[in-house]
Amino acid sequence: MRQTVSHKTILSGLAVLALCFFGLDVMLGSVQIPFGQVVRILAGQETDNIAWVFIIEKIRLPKALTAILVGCGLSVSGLQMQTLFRNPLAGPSELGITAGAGLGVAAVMLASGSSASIYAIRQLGVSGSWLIIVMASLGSALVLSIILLIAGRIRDNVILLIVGVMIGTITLSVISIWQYFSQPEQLQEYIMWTFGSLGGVTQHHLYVLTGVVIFGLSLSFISSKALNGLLLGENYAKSMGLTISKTRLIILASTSILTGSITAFCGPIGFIGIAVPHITRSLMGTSDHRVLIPGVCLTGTVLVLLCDIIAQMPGTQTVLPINVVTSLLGAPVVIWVIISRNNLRSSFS
Amino acid sequence: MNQPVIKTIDLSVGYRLKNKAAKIVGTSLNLELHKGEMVCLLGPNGAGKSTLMRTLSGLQPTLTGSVEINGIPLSTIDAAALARQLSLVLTERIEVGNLSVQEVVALGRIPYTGWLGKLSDTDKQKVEWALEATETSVFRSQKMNNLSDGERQKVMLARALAQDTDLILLDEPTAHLDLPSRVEIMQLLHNLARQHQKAILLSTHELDLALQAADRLWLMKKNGALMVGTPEDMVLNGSFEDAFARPGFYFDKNSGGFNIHRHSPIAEVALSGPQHLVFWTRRALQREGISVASHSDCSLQITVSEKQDHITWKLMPDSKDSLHTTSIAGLLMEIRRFLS
Repeated sequence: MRQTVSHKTILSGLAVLALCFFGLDVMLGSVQIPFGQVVRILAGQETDNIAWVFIIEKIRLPKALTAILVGCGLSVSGLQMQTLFRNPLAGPSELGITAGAGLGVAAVMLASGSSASIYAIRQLGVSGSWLIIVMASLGSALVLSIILLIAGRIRDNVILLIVGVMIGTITLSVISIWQYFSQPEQLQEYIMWTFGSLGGVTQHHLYVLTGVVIFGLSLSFISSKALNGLLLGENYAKSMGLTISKTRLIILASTSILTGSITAFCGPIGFIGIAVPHITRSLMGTSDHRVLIPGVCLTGTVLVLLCDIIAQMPGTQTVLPINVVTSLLGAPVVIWVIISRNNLRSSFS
Repeated sequence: MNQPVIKTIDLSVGYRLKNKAAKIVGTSLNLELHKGEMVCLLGPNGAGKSTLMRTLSGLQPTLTGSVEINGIPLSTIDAAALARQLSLVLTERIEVGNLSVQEVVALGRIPYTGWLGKLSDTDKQKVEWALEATETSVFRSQKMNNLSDGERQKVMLARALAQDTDLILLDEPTAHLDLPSRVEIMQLLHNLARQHQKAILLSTHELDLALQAADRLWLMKKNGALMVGTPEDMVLNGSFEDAFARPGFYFDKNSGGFNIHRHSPIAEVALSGPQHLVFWTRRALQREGISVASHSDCSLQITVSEKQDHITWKLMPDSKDSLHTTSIAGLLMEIRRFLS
């Protein structure tokens, strides 16, 4: 039972780290606010500068909370996909799931008649955000279903990855056609969206996104026993009385909802989904989903908060797009996974 | 006799081809498997062993007829209930590098645990017992990817045991293993059947191990027929040889193994001496195409004897003086000279 204790220790360590990074993320930014004042604002007390209150409450706090949601959601999506496909290279952005979400978002705009941008849709308020979430999740589910169908016929991990990249490309092409017929200023906004941003989620949307992400995470957590069974492969899972089709459906729903909603609001954020499960597995030394799911949530939170802090470029007026930072940190992890496994074609975890 | 754990009634197994036609690999199978019994399913490649195993384990539907488990038709048992009566060990090499042996074995308790898979005290006891029974408890905390193939397969067997089922089906569990591991797995299975009253069915290509360890054989032929019997009966009535016969390859009832050497010998010799020395001398001679006659009326007689760890072969040709050698290599050289 020594192991459970050490798992708990790692989880608490990660939680403390996440808390520190959350604090740092709220503290740092292009406007320098003294530490004491930040604490006062967070505690709801009077401050010297009313602008600081606005910056903390309306900008930095929602952004840091969004970072937590993104970190948890994308990481759990990636973890589920890696187990479901038994493929260490599976992840929401790698297999084109985020592209599917993008397609869903684009479909909303096409149907609305005007080629409105994601920012315009955000102005619709809560009902608009539901519409986007539903469509983006459906788009994700569409791509995920296609890949699941193909995965049933292909046992080679690398080939599946290539198929995923191709489906992602097809999806992006469809979006490009739509872009081609759009106005230049809307194009610019779309390109801004593809950079990814944690800052665009305002208060009401944050409530909606929080609810949806918690729902997706719960779906994932209740399937943790089935996910553990799937580690041994579908035949063993079946022989232990698990209903594979039901499990697959729940995981598909959870992954689509998490990836869809996050991508709709924050743009396609790469590499978190694929990298965090690997970091967590090697950190905790287990494949048990009951521990891994909380583990990837915390690791994901820490990593996205760190990416956001780096993106702020503390001390400067510049802000880098979050997607650039996650790619810079995440891609080397993927390379490490590829190099450290000589039997990538068929192995898992 | 007690009720069989698994029973098939006029079962046909096979699979549907792309054009919806049924490819039948076995028909009218009426088979029974009882508690405490280890049965080996043998047959050449393509005879349909895997198809039969998959059908019996419920992974594949029957074509006609039915399978009953503890008297209940397989098709009416739901997945969760079936998982408490039947467990599997498969050929496939599983890749769960990050799981420890104990965690893998604990997965066998999935049919019994709650929604989160938390182990109760009973579950823990069963896991412990499964680890002990398969002698895998020494590396319980090791990761699966640190184990050899043989150890891995023992862990998978422990997982099946933890599932606490009357029936364990194993689909070529020894396929990727070296000889000592294969022997070990067979011994383990035999003991489990006897000591813990499990009904064990395994498909295998290990003919000689199956002959020694199995209580009964299910012998599947290429034409879909299936013969059932005690190993020794099947050897003596010739059905064992029948199922595997090929030109230039025959079953030697004397040695209990397959003989890859030709039928018509180039010469005949008489051979006498202690049993084990005669056995190995005969094998060497057979490789040379020389048969050992049952009568002593031969142009060459060989006696082999052992004194204080020194083995001596004495060759006594009728025409020449007798010769002595101290190794099989020497013996073969002398015989070649004699025959030429």
